[in-house]
Amino acid sequence: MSNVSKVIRLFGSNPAGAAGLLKALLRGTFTVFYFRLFNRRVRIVFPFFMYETFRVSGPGKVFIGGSCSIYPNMFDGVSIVTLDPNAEVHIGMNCSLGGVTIRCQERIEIGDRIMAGHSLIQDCMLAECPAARPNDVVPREMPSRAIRIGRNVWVGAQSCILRGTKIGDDSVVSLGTVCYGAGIEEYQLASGNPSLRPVPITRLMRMQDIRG
Amino acid sequence: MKDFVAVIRGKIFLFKCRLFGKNIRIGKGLRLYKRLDVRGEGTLNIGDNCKICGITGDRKQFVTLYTLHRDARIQIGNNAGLFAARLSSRYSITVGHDVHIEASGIMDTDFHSIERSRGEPINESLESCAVTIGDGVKIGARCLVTKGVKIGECAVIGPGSVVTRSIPSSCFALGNPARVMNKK
Repeated sequence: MSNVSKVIRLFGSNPAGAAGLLKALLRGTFTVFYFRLFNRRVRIVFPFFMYETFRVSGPGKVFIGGSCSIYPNMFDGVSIVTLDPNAEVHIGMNCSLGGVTIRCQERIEIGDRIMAGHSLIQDCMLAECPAARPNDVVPREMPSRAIRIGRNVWVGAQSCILRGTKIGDDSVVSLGTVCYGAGIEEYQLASGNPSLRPVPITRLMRMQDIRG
Repeated sequence: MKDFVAVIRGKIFLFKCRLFGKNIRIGKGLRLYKRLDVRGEGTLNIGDNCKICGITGDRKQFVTLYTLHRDARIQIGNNAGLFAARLSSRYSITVGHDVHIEASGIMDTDFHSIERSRGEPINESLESCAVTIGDGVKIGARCLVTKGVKIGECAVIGPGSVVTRSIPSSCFALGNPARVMNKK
């Protein structure tokens, strides 16, 4: 009930924004029903706000939690590609994703309340490699490894999260970072290309004399 | 079905090149899954059994091969797979056999000088700027290969890296600037 009253109050203060929100909710609802009717491998929980295009392709499974929203970022929506029948993409609740490209061959697990910019999340080295096709020969290099991202993580724009990366809760991946098999723990800041030494945010705040 | 359409599109493209593009030479068995954009007056040689594709999950799905000058030259070997790659050449780009290039850019010039006039770049020549990519190289998505780089045979460049220096053969490189992470 409180959500409805919030929308009514928003309609009073910012009518254009409220209209955009309703349009996004309508688009999202249509998408949810489309996937429920024609593509059972993709499951989206109902309040789904779609401000930009959302594309899914490939034979794997996709799950998206409740009240996620998709924003335009670099004129691009979210596209999820699964390259293997056993691939699984799991996205938690309350995420706001803009312009994210996800290519999954094994398993990608993303927690609740993620904020992500125009970035690439890919758990294999080469997306169009012959291993992606079932009948072709598997090349000797680069098997895929699962990616796991915790809760409350911010992923900056232009960043790449590559295979074998594990990111803990409340961490920040800064702009233009490439994480390759990096183990980023709880409440740390990762930066650089490639990101080698993540810094704890408590230490950064102590250095800059900020009291959190 | 898709393969059949790709073969037909490749044959049409070959016929078009024979009629209009005298500077373009393409071998047998070209397969065009997505659009191939060729511009410029330079020479362009492509070997046999090449595959032109887009990369799944991106909006820009075409391959561009631009030659910016009359003397520019792009040479691509046999069995190459170009997945939304963008090549632009002022001097010379040589790509070997069995290469796999995903959504990344290869350029052998700076396009402009860093002076205030922003004119033609100075201190550039064919010897210092030619890009050579060896046989069996695999380049990941969102990479950039800049001028004067030689990549050895069977090297692998990770996604999101910027290659500014030469890379030896059969190793794995990543980062900005791309460094050798481990020998294979």
